[in-house]
Amino acid sequence: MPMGSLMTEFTLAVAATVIAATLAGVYFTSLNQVTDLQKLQVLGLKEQLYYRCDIIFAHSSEGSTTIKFWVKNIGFKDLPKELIKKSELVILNRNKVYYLLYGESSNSWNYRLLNDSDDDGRWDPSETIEVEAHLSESLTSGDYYLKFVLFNGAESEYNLSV
Amino acid sequence: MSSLGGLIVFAVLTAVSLAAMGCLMMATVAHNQFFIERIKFMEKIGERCRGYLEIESMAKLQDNRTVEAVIKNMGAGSISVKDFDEIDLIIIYRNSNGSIRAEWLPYDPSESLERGWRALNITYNGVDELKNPIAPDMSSGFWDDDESLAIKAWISSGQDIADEFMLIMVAPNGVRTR
Repeated sequence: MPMGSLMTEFTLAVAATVIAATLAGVYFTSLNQVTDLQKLQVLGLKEQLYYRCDIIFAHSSEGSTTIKFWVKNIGFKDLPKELIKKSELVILNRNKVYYLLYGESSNSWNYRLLNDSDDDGRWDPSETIEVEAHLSESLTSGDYYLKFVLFNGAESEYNLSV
Repeated sequence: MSSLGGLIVFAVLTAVSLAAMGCLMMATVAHNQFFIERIKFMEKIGERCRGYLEIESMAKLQDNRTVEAVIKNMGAGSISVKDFDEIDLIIIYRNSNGSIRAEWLPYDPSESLERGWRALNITYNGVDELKNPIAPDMSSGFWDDDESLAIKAWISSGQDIADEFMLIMVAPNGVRTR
């Protein structure tokens, strides 16, 4: 084989390898990104599925500044204190909307674990918490709508009349 | 293209294809796992939709702070006696002051707490249960479908049930009284 032809073939081989490697690199990067995105999506869906709650009953009376209600963990996973405290509470009636975050003062809510049989301080599946919503104003007679939203957006609603 | 270049490109593309197939398989496995979990969850939801608890009878005792009730498991699934502490029992009543109160009562088989509830027995059509019978000391057994659970519940001594009352019971899986 002449020397010139050998050089051309070698150059072409190197060029083809570089192009193939570049293409493979780009392809792998894209594929990794897609896989990561898919993993994130699955994780997000899992979170939505795992953490769920249900308001069993709510009670208050006219003139009171407190609404007490009981929420059951009907999901698959237990919630540590930190995540329970990230829940939000929305109370609304015809004239007023309350948006309450966890706290000890008025216009906030707090909770206590009722049947923490394993005594781990976590809100396990099937366990119930007693939530007390403290409002800045007394409740007047009428219908109220409660929505308790967990950290992941899972929610439970309840209609209450006082 | 030269034969050497062609071979290298072919080898690289084959490697890429194999790796891509591997990634695809991993993604499929992840999806399958999620799908299985979803089915499990749907089963749980289905169980909750299907069943309910029915209060067959309830009565207030003379001390005005104790009630007895019989609750039938209408397709809520078998509930282990060991999980009775995860059952919620809420009593709603009007006291002699005229105010309506609602109290969540803890499971208290030894009746040592000031307020609580305990199971008295489980029967099937009025006779001893046939399936998964409970031990006399309530240490084992199940409250199965179509069986009736008799309970006793009591409120704190400072309160009284003036007239009518309501009971809400929720099983560990979220099935509740209708």
